[in-house]
Amino acid sequence: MPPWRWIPVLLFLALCGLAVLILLPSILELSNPKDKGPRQIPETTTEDDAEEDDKLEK
Amino acid sequence: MIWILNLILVLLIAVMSAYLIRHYIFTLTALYYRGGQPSFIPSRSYQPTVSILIPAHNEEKVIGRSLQRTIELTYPREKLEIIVIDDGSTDQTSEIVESFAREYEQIKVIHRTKGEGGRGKSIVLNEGLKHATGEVIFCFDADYYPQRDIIEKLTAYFVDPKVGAVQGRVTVLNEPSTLVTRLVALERIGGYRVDQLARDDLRLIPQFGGTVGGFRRDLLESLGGWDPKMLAEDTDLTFRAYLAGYKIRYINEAECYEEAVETWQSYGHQRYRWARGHMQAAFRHLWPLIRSQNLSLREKIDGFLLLNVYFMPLFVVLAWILGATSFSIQSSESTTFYLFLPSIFIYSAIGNFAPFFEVGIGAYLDGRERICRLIPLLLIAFLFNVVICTKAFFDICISKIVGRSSYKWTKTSHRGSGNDFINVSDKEKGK
Repeated sequence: MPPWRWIPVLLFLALCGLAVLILLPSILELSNPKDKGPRQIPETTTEDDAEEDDKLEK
Repeated sequence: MIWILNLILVLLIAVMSAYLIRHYIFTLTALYYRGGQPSFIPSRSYQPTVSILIPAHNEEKVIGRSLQRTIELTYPREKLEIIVIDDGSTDQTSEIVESFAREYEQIKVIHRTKGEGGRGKSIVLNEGLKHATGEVIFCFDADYYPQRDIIEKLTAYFVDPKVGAVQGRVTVLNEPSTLVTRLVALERIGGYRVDQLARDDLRLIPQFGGTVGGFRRDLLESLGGWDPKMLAEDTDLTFRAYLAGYKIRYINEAECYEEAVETWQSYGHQRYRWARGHMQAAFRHLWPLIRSQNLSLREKIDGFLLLNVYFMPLFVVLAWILGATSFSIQSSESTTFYLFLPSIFIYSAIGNFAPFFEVGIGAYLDGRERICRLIPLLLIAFLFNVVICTKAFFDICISKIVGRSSYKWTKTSHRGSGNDFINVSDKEKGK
């Protein structure tokens, strides 16, 4: 087989390799999630500030 | 013939470059510029009366926890009313809402008949507006679970008479449920933590997202309320407010949980509605936006790009097709070939990744580096959006030609996922 006939095969393999390389971290994370999500929203952030304001006023 | 092809390709590359520059500006702003939005300072001197509208159509799995949360809000009770509009629900929503209304006087219920129900959110919100008495009108979806002091944070910005509306941040509650919820969570991080915040910092056009936000009552009434003809009623209101000379502020510190769609089918329905509604808003507001005297040049540029954002997936596909055609029919010795080659490579190297960069920086700012590993999977969501936006575009064109819309409202259903994360009791679950 002339060498140029291998080019599409090599290109296809390279593309598959690239796709795996790009997606590998995602696949690993999905198979064993270590992210703590969802983001923990603070219950309130104003009460502490308000208490500090009261102390300052006194 | 070839020069026409090349000209179109150049224009497409210019448009895509404008969006990539926009993405990078937003990302760098969110990363480095923190002068625009000071940390929240509680104000006791300015506390307007507030009405919260909660539309609910068959929301028995989530409405209990949402209402329980609204009565835990720290805003003065005498200045707060909560109006639930039961939109002809056929499940237990009415009973759950009524039980809360009997127990808490600040909760009011409006019932729409089963025949009237399920015809879109705008109609329901307009119904709620008729009964609301507050100076500021907020909207929360039935699945939303806000921070306890969110109303203080959101109302604080109405001190400025030029501020017509405010928008808070949305965080996905059921993130670990499925791949779709994880990807939606990533999109939300990029969209709010970076995009909306940067737009606010740069005094561009932060968008009212339809929920976790509110309007000055007199402005909302002067605009005629929500337009039932618009599928993206939030985008429509955003631009009507700006065209009327008001500003919208985004408050990153005012946070709220939402339940994201869990399946690709629900994701498709939701995004189709957003895409088609956004395109509808673009057709309606582009020309008034360009002509308006009430917007600065930077607001006009941002508004123009914002209105056209759902056309971008279409442009990208068109650029792929035209690019491939151009390369296949042009001689490699031609000058244009050597002009296009580097520009397409540069765009592919840095341009295509701009939205992912935005999401990555958002996750980094949230202290969640681990979730960045999922960013490559956003390619799937992007390709899915290409199909959705293309369909939305052709459907809207057909409806414009035919003169009537074929769209039937499809409501996003909620399953009550994520309750364990926020420790919701059985009562709040509606059991």
